Amino acid sequence: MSLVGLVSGAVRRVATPAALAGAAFVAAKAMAAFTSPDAKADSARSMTKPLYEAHRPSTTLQKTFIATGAALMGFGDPTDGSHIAALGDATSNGFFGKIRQQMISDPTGRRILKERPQISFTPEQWEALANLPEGSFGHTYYNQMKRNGISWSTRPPVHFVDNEEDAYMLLRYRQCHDFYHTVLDLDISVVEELAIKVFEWRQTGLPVGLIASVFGPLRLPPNEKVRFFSHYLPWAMQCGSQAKPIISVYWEEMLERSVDEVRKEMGVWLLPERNSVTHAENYTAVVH
Amino acid sequence: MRSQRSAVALLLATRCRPSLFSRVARSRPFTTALRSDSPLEATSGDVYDVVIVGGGPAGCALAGILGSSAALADARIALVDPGKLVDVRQWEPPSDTYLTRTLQITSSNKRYLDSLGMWDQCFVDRVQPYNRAIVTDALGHGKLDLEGAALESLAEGHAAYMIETKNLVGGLLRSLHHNGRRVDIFERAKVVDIGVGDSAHRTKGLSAISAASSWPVVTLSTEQRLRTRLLVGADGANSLVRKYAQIGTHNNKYGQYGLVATLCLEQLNQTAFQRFLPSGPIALLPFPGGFANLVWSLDAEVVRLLKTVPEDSFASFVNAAFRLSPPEMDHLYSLARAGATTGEIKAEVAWRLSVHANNHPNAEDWMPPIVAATSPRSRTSFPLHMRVVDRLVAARVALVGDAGHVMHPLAGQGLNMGLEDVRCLAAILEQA
Repeated sequence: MSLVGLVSGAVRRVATPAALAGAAFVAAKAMAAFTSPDAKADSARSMTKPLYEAHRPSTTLQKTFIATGAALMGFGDPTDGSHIAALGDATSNGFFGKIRQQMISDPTGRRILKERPQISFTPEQWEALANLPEGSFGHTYYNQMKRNGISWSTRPPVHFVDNEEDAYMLLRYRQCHDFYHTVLDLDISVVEELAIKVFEWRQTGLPVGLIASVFGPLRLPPNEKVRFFSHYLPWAMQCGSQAKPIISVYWEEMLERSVDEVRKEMGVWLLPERNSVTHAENYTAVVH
Repeated sequence: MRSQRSAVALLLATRCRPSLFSRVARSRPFTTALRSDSPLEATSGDVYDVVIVGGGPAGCALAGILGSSAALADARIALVDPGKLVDVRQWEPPSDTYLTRTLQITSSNKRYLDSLGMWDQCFVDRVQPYNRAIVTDALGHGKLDLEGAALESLAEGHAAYMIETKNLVGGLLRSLHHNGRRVDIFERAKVVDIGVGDSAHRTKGLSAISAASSWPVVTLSTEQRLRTRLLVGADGANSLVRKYAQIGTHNNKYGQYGLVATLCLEQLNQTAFQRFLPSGPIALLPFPGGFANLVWSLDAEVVRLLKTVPEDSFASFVNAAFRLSPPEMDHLYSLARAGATTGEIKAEVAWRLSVHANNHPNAEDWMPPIVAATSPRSRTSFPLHMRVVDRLVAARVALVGDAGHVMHPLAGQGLNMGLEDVRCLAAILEQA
């Protein structure tokens, strides 16, 4: 086939959807820019001023676009954490009641909200974890990360949450994700990550947890789907509902404590089938 | 309303001879009417055209209106109350606070009382006229800014007036004292019994014949007996007159209490504020001099808790209740239950208020001024319920005010409806 024919054929195939997409984009922008004639002159509509450093104020329509786009991209490539992060940002506004209530009614949670600690490790601190006693939380965490071939890394900041305290709570929840791997003794295969997502959804009530839990398993190969629905899902649902709120834990202070003690305090019990031979075959797509 | 008007007119027309009231205007026919019942006349005690049981705002207003009415110039009217009305009439208002039991009077009721010269008898400098109410909800999104100035029906004056109950009743009694010599006041007289006719004299042939023997007789604790043509029940929620008339009610016990207090604000304020929380509405009503009246609907346990916390803590709770979310309020309550000190509660409230202020920069436009202090010993509570009668009138009985309808105070309409009852009844009696 000639080059011209190829190109024109491609363009013809792409032109109509591209034109439609363009028209839709322009229409959406016009809708977003529409101001009600009754609105007072200086009312903020649904956009506030920036309330914290990384804050990008957005209207509800903009958030819908961000959420849809992030969901599609995240479904396509779940290894990139920033997509799920953006999805979480855009969909979580107004759903922080449960987390806020959990943190405010717990003395440690209140301390976290007042002190605003950020989880981070310098390379020296990271290596120091290896020197912690055997069976301690920090040691187990370090070994697990090493075994899975990953290391601690900064999480993407929160951009689209329109409340400064809620943004901190969401960031804290993201930063603690790795600790959840250790507490629940789950590695980084897709099935296990989904189990942790279900657990988190039961704990926090955030919509991103539900979205990930519902659409995530659709990607799984059939044998893993069976394993997920028969073992991981029931366990995660029940453990998540019954465990103490995990967001109120001051993880920085837990590193030296025994991991079994931490699990007992959290009211967490481990999935018996998790490290069995069958489950070691789980597809590992997630690389932090 | 129309059915009540015709009912009352009907009872007055058929039970007694048709133009008896017009005869009353010309002469004193009571003696002629009762001639055939001389034993009754001799021993039944006082006979009245209208006996008003209850010297609250509705009862005193009715007594004043009937007493100063030209059409009822020769009617005998009595007002009965178990309390010391002279103390209310001679009440000296405190200079450093306002009482917690207050009333909202609407513009039309105020104009009516003004036209009869009763409003000026109150301490007008203790009345707060206001034109604006701001209403918000627990989620922080719903907001209403009600401006009375936009009302076309408001020709002059303000949309509403806040007045202490004792101020209003005192003013009405003073007006009665100066003008209504026709009204006999029986104070410190509890109603012991209300009965029909005089059973001691119910001999054969007499009972069914004479109209007067079927008139209600009110027996007082002072051993006086008042026989009346029309018995008006203005005796409040647990009305004895209503029980006598066997008028049924429809009740709704909310299971909550209204916590009231007098607060001192950080700045002068002429706006009413109300916030609808899941536990019930909280309202801050303006008074002169930076004072405010708080009415907060709460469950019994929280009312008990808030009445026992120190007064500085209480002021923090009120500030928090208008701004914070329900889970944050629950957290503050559990802190108080656990016995936190005033300093701890204040610090916690300050922290949450600063977080709230950081995240809602424009919210203070919709919030009441910060409460600086609670007036000492001003926290009280009363149970909240709704009670509505099946009918406001019965044979020779009319109910006005709370005796006929008790409602939740959230819109401040209870006495305003009572005053509408009074106006309606007075108009009917003047026509009859």
